[in-house]
Amino acid sequence: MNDVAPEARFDLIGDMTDEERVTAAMENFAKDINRTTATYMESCMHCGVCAEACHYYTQTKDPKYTPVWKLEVFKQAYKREASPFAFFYRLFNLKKKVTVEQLEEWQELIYDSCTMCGRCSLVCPMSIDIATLIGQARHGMFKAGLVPKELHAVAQRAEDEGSPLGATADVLEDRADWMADEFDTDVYIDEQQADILVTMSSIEIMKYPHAIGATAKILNALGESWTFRSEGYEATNFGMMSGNVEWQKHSTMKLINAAVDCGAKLVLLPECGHAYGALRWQGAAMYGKPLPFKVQHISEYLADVIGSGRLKVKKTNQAVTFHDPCQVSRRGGATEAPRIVMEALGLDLREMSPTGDDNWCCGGGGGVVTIDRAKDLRYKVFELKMDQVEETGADTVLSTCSNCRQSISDAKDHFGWDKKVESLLELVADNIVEDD
Amino acid sequence: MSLLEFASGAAMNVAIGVFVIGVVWRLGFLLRMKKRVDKSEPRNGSERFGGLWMIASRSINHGPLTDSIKPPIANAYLMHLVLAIVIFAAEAHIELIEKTFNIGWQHLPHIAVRVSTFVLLATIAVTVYRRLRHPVLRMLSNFDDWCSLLVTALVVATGLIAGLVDEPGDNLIAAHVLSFNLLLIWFPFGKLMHAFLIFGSRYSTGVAFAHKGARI
Repeated sequence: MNDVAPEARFDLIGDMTDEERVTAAMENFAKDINRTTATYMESCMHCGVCAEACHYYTQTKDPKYTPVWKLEVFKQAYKREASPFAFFYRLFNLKKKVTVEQLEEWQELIYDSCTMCGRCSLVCPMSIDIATLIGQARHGMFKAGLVPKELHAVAQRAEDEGSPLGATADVLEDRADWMADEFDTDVYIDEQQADILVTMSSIEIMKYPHAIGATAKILNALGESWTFRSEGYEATNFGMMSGNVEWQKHSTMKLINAAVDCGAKLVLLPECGHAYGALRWQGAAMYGKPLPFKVQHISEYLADVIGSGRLKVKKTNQAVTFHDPCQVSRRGGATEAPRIVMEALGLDLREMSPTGDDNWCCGGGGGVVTIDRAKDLRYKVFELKMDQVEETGADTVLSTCSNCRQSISDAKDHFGWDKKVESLLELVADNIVEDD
Repeated sequence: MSLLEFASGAAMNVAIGVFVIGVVWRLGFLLRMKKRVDKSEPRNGSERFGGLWMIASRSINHGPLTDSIKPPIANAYLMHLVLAIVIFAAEAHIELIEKTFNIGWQHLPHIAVRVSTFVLLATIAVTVYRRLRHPVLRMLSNFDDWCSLLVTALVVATGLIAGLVDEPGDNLIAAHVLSFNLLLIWFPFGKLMHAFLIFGSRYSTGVAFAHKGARI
């Protein structure tokens, strides 16, 4: 059983009565109910198979971490208020009204113990996309002020300052200057016209700025017309992760407007998993119409330019293993792209077991890495990833997500683990074959 | 009016009525709901195929499962297989279908149907046992789970007893028909509806995954 008990079970944001919190949670959850999500709500067989696919359950054996159980209060509300037989549920009180105490208890299950990695969706006999429903539940929880305080704080900061980690446009400019020197290349900011709008995650700007130099070096080697835009460069979307749809839209629209303003044909997303989901798959919904440009994750772009022969890279015999970012591979469909790049680099790729779409989550996605009270549980879950890596015999873990990289690095420090965590993008930049 | 006449007459008419109206209402309610339109650029154009493929493939590919979950999945497979045999290969059932819909086919030998019925009952017993013992299933289980198992087990048990007797009396057959009526009445309200919902749920996810180019 789980021996990891968070110090505080829930946080309350804002001044609201209990009744107001419940109403806000239910109304904002109900807003997103459509044919698909209602069908999911109707379809669960209570078979429990999803538990076996969840890193939180497999590592703790605590039944409350069963993925579909994390939705139980929202299922209860759906059945009572919005299902085909809601009348009977209310008339005979077959499903009781959801209480604020239930929502407070469920906060840990909706936020701390779900990275929305979607592994459960792969095994559900009914193919219920539980991760999507968790995202919907977060919409309700956020509006009810039932969101972990750290996640709320970074989301608020992103809304107020344009970046959850203080990576303002001025900071980006400073980092860009530094990286231009470091990589001896040009970094373009606020070009009037460019074919490619380049974006970064705040983690990269603040913690892994070499991503800026690496991206610039590669794009310049290819002779691309590209730019950062100071009004839209931050690809992370804490509005989406925390459950605030308005803030999600604000962040997304900054990128869309920046791309439209400079006439970009392509928006290049950084090594960030959820940024990919936010713009590539949810961007058009925020925009209200199809996006007038293509969107690619940097690994897809690299696979294209390397696969087509436009970018040549040196072979390296480095032994590595690869951690698949859930939102790019399993939930994004770009599982093969990094493997095309790694093959071109001649890496001795030692795949984890399981790997690719079936790979285990690092435990830091979905905003979980920001939640302080969840860290012990996160470390417990990370032991699964350590075991996977150890079995490969590789000393270096590559990934194409800075959030995964940060989660792995943090856990590495916690455990005193001797593995290295590196970026595939930076490895490519280090091994470009420059034309004479 | 005998009990059998009541069971196969008025009671069955009511049960069929509840079943049809309930199923149509539940499915119609879902179909009337707004449909989410994904405006993002698809990775490829095979979304409908992806939906249909998911309906088929999820019956074969169960993804990254641990060994511990494989026996209950095998039990579920066996349950549905013998259920199909019992429903569609028993002589009495085929006669009823032929009388109602004017189409029939060759039945299996009685012994094969009896063994299948016994196996079906055994798989239900295993399901009940696991639901009582496994912490996850114990937590997830609610009235719907137990009621669905009970009404199914009643139909199977009465059918098994009737099948084991050379000349089952009217009351035994009436008990089987009444339990079937009970199942029909419960069907639209509980998880037995997965027989229909499975298509919508799998199709929806298949379409969404195909849109992204994610594995189905």
